[in-house]
Amino acid sequence: MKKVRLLSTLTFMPEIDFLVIGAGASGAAVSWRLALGGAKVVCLEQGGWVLPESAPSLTSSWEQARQRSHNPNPNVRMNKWDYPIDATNTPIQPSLYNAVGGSTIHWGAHFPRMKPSDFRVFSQDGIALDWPISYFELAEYFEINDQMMGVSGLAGDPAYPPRGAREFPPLPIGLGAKKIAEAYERMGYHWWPVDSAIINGQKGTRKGCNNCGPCDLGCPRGSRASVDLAYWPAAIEAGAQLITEATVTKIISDKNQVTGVSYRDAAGQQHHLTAKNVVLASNGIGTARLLLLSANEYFESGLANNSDQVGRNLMHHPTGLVTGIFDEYLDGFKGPFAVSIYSQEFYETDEARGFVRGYQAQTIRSDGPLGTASGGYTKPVKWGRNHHEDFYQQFGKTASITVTTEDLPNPENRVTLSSQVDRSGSQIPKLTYQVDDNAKKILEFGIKKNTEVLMEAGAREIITVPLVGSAGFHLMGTARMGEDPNNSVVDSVCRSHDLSNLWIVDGSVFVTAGALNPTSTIQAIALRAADAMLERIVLPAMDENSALLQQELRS
Amino acid sequence: MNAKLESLLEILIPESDGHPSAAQAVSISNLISDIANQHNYELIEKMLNSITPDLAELDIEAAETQIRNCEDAFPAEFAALLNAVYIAYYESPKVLKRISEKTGYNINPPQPDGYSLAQFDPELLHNVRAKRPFWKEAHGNS
Repeated sequence: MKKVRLLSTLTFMPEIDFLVIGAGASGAAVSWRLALGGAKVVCLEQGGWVLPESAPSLTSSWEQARQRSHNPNPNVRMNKWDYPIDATNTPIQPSLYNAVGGSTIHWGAHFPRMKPSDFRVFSQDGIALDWPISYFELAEYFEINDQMMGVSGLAGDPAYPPRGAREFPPLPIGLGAKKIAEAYERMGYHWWPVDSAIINGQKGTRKGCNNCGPCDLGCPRGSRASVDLAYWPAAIEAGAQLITEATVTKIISDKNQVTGVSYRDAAGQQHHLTAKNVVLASNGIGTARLLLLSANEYFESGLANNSDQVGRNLMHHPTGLVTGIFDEYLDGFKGPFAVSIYSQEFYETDEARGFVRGYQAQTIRSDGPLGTASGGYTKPVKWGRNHHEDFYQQFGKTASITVTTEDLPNPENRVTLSSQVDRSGSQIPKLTYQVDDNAKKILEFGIKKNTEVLMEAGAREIITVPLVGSAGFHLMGTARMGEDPNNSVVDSVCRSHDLSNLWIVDGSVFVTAGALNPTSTIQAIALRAADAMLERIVLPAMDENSALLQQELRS
Repeated sequence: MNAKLESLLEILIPESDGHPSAAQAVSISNLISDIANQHNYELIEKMLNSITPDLAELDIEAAETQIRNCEDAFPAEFAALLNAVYIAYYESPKVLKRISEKTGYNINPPQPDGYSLAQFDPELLHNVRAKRPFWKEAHGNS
């Protein structure tokens, strides 16, 4: 894979046009686009580089790593780049990663786009709010992002507006998903092979997927996109500077403008950087936390928080899981665990069902031996005389379907500051969250429907998890966009209503959540915001060499 | 404590069908060390001390009853211990070898070799291809 320079300090001290906070999915995308446009970009990332060749899937203790050193919950994992999160007041535990690449370091790379209706919930259902932008305004940015990340999938899905061919054909779906697909066909339900940010063939120096399974542990082949591979080399080549192990502790502002940030390096030294613009890309928890930590005499309840919406409307997508146990061996541990097929048969509102909006059903493969025994997404195998028999009833013989629900915004579901502090003395974020009645009804309905699907597919036993407590991997809504400064934090191009040179480009800006994985949409929004940022600054004329380089990179 | 833990492991995962018992497959000292690193060992020790009879002296039904009582009284600690036992057991080469013999499971790490799988067959999309597009236009504020 392409080698990039690993920086821990600035190699120059430019007059920074855009100081980006966070090097994850959105921070990488916005940094690349801005640098490509000729802006001077510096990104501060609290974590470091995670080398693909360090993935535990190359070791015999890979299943243990999933539970411990690579646990998606930072409160369990507790590596040196993580900050604790007070999650005592929520049934859904946070799942995120702090490193160059952010949570794309450990994600499953299921890569759907939000749908046109997701942007118009108020107009359709009379609840929540409409977004100030539409699906179609994001369409060109979805395409750019797909090119950068590398996408496998198939055109022709009737659940979406028409789109062109993907760069790679769909990944193998495996025996379990095939059974489910055949059941969907017999039942007349929608299904389709998923779009995945996992390449089914060579892309530059990244190799095609070899179906190893545990994408969440990192991908030593570079098949599963993570933005440390998919964006950062190009961003750095375009001129962006990335400073690792640099934890921003405060954004500095006056009444109308941000002026820069304070950050702490790996040695604990405090630094200050000034910048013409600050771009927050620290995810739906980290961004709200930093805005609240940055309260000052002009913004006593948190930076850019005149609307009192910072930290509110936290959305996760409450997720249920239905697992079918089959008689035959399905090799369920083979293939990327999170991507095979999906169904949006029950995605849109049908008033007869007694709830608004709906869910996406995503087929999930199964675990290795330890994951099977210790429960994985289902329940631990029982101890005692029948342990081995019970183990073999499940091992390699399961297929699961998630119920990923619409999660409507609720101002009481929120990120606030805890009285506890991290190792440097900064207050940690506190999550307060409840699953609402609408989502509970969707979960109940979805679990019933998916039970029917798995029975039709031939499962002899069903195990259900009504709410997956570890599924806090989608972090949205805590600095939402809107045209009205009284009930939103940023405008339609992600610029703060209160501070004209502060921008937010991560999942915080979501107005509603849809019922599907948000990363593709987060990145498209970040790319669109970057173009809006570039329109608002005056860049110096490029010399001939720089112009040629930009032209080459754009092509 | 080691003897008590060993007796407990014999009941949790007994020897069967070519599989070693947990007591045979797991190093007790490593297990104790692991539990001490990951959990509050004092609470787990308290739980183990609540099992007063010698499990090795009991018949299997009586021993399982004792353990179930312990599980009911200390659910969190028992779950932590059981998970640590499962981690140690299912990473044991002897156990993985037996699983491989029974199922063909490849005991090598998932990488670098991965697995071979059949590519997606678009012919599967027979009925769903015939569906009319059903995404909503969704007009509204913009």
